[in-house]
Amino acid sequence: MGGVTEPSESTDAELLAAVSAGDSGALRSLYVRHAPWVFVRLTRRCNDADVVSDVLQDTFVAVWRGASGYRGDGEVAGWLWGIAIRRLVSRLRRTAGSAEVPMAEVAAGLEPSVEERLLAGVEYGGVPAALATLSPQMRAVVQAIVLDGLTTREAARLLGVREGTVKTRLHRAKAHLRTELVRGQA
Amino acid sequence: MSGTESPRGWHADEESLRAWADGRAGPALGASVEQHLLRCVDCRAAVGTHVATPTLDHTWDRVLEQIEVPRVGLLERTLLRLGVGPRDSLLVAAAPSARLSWLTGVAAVLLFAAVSAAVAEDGGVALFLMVAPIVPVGAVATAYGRTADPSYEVVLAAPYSTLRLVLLRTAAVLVPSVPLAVLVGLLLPGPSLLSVAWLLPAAALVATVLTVSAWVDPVLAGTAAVAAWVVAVAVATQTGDPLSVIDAAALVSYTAALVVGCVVLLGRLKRTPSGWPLG
Repeated sequence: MGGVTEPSESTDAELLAAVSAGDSGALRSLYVRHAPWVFVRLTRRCNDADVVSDVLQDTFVAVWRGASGYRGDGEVAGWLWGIAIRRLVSRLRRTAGSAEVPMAEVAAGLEPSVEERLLAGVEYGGVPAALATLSPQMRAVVQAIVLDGLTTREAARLLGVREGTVKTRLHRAKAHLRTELVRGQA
Repeated sequence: MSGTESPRGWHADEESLRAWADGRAGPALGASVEQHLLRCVDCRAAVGTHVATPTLDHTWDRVLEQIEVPRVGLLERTLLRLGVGPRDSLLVAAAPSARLSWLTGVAAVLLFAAVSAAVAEDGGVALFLMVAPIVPVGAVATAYGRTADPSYEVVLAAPYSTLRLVLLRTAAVLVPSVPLAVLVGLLLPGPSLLSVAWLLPAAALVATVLTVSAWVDPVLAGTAAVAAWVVAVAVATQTGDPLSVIDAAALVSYTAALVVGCVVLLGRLKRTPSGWPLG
């Protein structure tokens, strides 16, 4: 990013603390560090460039206003993505004419589940291969719930299907992955 | 940074990152890269080289625009919600007597008057009668003017009717302070008429202050009005009955003063071209 302050040596958590104290320079550093990958990851979930830009903006404005909501445990990157994906869901919901996801919900949905911890290792072993054998619809559900950490309701919003459908597909996807992983190890 | 301490031997290679950033990566590679990026500072930094900067810079500009907007105060937000225009809301909220500290002061004074009245019966009634009308008069006098209002010069130079401003702010300060005073009046012992009867002299005093403010500073006008009222109540108390300041004859004269004040104000308001200060 041309002519921009080089992100300093401070950790993300330190920058967040500075942001909650009203330092917009710290927000800029966080933006330089994180906006590119958040932007790409959002683009992979929504192909409307205007929506992605709006969501990216909303995310960092939310960080500015809610930096004190970061509880200091876990990666700042994961926390940021939790905000971004929920902003995307609420943005898609707004175009459908409903209300926004409150910040409290954002903080709530970030506990890693067993599946998430299992799949957090997707870069190793047979998990990527197993993932590739899923149907596109089941993969989208796994991506929304396991990788992006959304609730079934949020995933349903994002994917434009009913909550029940999300639950069924997730259930089938888990069963399928388990079989594939066992076969991979054998 | 936990990202650097847990690369666990695996790094997304340059080609994978580029494929992911360009949207060419398949689901399995995509998921791997995304999970890895959450924990790896170096790879996150590398993504930055694959993303078009104009888009990000533009978005950052919009973030800045949003976070640099001054916070709108509670009073202003309430007024906006009630349908008052943004310009009027800002001007009303800028009045010194529209601040919370002022309202707290009013509550404290009234409470003091009420407690004294409850403790000291007759003398207390006189005290309440003396204090209650001062509250709205004081509010109005400090709502506008060279002495009380730090935004006075700005307002004066703006293409905005000063009279309109004074009336707007008067309404804004009367709305919270009058009910407060009435409430305290109702808690008092003594004739129930007392709790509301003081509103008429108060209204007459406010109208007088507003009318006179065309020629003198409102704080001066307010002080004079308050002094006159205090003397009147004191004299009435000395001569026997403090309640004589709200007897029938007195109420008629307050009404007369109120009517005259309103007529003069309306006349001035009509002669004021809207959107321009008083000549």
